Amino acid sequence: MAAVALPLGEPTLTRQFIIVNHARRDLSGHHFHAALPVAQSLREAGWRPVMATHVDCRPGEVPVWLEVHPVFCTDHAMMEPVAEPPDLAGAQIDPYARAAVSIASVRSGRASVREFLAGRFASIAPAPSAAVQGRRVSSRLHDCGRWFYHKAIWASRRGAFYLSPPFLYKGCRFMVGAAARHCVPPLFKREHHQRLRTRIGPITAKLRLICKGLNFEGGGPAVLAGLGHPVERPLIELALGELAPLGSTLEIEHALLFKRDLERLLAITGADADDHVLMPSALARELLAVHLVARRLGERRCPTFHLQFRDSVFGREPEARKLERSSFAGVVQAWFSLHARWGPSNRMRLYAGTDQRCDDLKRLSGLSFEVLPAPFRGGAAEDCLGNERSGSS
Amino acid sequence: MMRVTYYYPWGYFHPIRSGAATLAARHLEYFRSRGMRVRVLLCGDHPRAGRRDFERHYSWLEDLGVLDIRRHPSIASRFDRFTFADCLAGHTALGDLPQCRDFLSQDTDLVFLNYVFASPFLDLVPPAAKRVLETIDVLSKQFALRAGGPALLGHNLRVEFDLYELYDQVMMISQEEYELARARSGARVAYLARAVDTVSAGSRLEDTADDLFDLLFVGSDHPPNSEAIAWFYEHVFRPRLKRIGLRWAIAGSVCNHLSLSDPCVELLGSVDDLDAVYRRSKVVVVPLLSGTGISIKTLEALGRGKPVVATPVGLRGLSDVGDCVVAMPFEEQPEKVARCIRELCASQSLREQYGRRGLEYIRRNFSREGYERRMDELLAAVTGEPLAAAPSTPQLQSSAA
Repeated sequence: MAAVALPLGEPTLTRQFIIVNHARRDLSGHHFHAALPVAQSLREAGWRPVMATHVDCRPGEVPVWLEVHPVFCTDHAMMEPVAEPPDLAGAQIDPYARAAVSIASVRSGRASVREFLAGRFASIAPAPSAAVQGRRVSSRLHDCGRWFYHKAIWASRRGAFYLSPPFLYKGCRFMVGAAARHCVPPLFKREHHQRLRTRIGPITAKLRLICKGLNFEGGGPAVLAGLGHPVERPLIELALGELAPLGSTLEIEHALLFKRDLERLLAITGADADDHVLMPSALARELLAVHLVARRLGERRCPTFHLQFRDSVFGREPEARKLERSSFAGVVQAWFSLHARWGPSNRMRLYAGTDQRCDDLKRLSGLSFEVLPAPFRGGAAEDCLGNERSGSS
Repeated sequence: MMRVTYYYPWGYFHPIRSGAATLAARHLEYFRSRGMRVRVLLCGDHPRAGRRDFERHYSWLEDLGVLDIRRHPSIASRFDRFTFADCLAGHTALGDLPQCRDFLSQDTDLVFLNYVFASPFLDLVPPAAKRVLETIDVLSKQFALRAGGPALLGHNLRVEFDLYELYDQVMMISQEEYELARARSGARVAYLARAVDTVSAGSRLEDTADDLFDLLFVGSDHPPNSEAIAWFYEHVFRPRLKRIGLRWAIAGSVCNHLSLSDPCVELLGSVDDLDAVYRRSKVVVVPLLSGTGISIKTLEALGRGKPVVATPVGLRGLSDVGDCVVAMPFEEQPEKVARCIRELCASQSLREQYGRRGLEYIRRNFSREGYERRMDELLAAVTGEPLAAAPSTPQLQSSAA
């Protein structure tokens, strides 16, 4: 089987190529050293290379020209607990909120600096429209009313304090306080509302799963949050149905944490349909994350994802591979089967590193994979890009 | 005659109280020397205090606008929080003020903004005006010292470098940051070696009085300055230098943030004649542990012919500084630092030797002529008009702080 090159199209300085390199918690190992020459080649070819790493990686270890975003909290092995999500205070981290305005649009006069910034920072609103201006007047009146209300309350309290006998004042305060504490059910008290909401959401999600006969054992907050979303729920329920019997519910939790970080990455980089995301050491569980992101972004806004599967599924011995599958292979097969059931996406392409690996995955999943060699040398990366350029011309 | 609109965000820059103000003053002098018509927009929280002094010094300005952020608490709170996002949001909100809008929308040939967080103003300037940014520092790195991890830095750096692309010219005073911006941004960036005042040839570098300060630190109220002083006092000065009777003077608005109470440490505060303070001191220490951009305090000390003992951070942005300064990792070798300072304080010839070398370095790399020549080149490339000193305008005055 002939090796393919990434179908990238014509590079321009504004188009991004994002390499997701979160496999390890430091920047050692072959994953990082394979990704660097790819980034270098892309840069020379006129792309804007971007690397995303595990949150524990120090960007100081990469070349100065390479843009780095340490945002991922999961790694491959997950032998250690999930890392704390990074502090992105103030940044716009919801890729679905609205399409980010590119700097090129601002330069060409199609958008304002303010609109550009509003797409990057949650605290900056886009230019106020006439409707917003109207609301401003009403909100000013509202503020004014609130001020008078609070002053009136304060004046009546001070009046009661200074003008009424102390025993009456204190007695009334006690009575009112006690009545508020003991007569109003907690359900009607504002301080309990948030707590009730956060408790009820997961309980209803779990009840729904039980009603459908699905096992939630091992799932976590990311799964519960996903089940609360109408677009994500059907896919996650399918995944739970397949993977819970294999005892791999935790895989779904990790996949959804990866999805959260992927969303943040896409929001930060403002990635859109012209951009590409290479996952050079993708895991089967990450298919779920990419599927969900692609589905929610839609064809018009979603970048193209290139998932390269490098890990061996069957172990080293060819005989063993032919005879029986490991439990790991069973889980991988379940993920690929889910991928087929979720439906194809034009924004997802699947690769394996070698012909042999390609055959293995094809046999396991029934899906077709293309060969994308791991470019451990700069030359290999250039070959990849060069093939595509000559192929597309 | 070219019209320039100049924005500076830290209030009045005369009298000079910070490195950024020195740079602003130098630019204004340059504009005047080239016969430009200059309008200045400032943003400050105490616009009445010092206005008269400023107006007297810059009486030749065509227009002066001052945005009083204290009259707009929601904007002031943004600046108080002082993060990259808040400074950008604060300037976006400033742009909504009619006064700011009116000032910036007037016809001009060149809009010269200080700091990238002023970029929301670009929405207001006339489309035909050329846009120049003086970055001072790569601000996302500057803010990353205060809060946020590498992930937030990655996000902010990206926004900052994207914003650079909106300018016809981006000027950077740090060689290192210029290299970074050149590698990461498609903008038209240029390195501009800032002009540093130097003592005139033949003048004394040190007074002969007996009561000289042994050590001197000069700094603004920028947080890394107070952190550096606290660390140096605790780990070097108090245990190793104070007991042998050395005296340390601290000048600048950093004194407002210090709670040091030690007879061996003199807090001079903001001073009118900084040259005199330099002359009254033997050695300048720059114990900075964090910072971005270029260390202006180190440059100014070298320009005054003082021996400088600095951390690597204190020498950031200075290339090929070699043996002109004593560079040491303070945190790793506090004892060695103390020994070196003692030696310098004890030997006038050694101090003079370092002082002369530093002075030569500044004259070679940060001269006024070099700065003016480079400004001429950069602005001529932007505007398409050749620039040179106007014969009718007065020669530049020294603006030593």
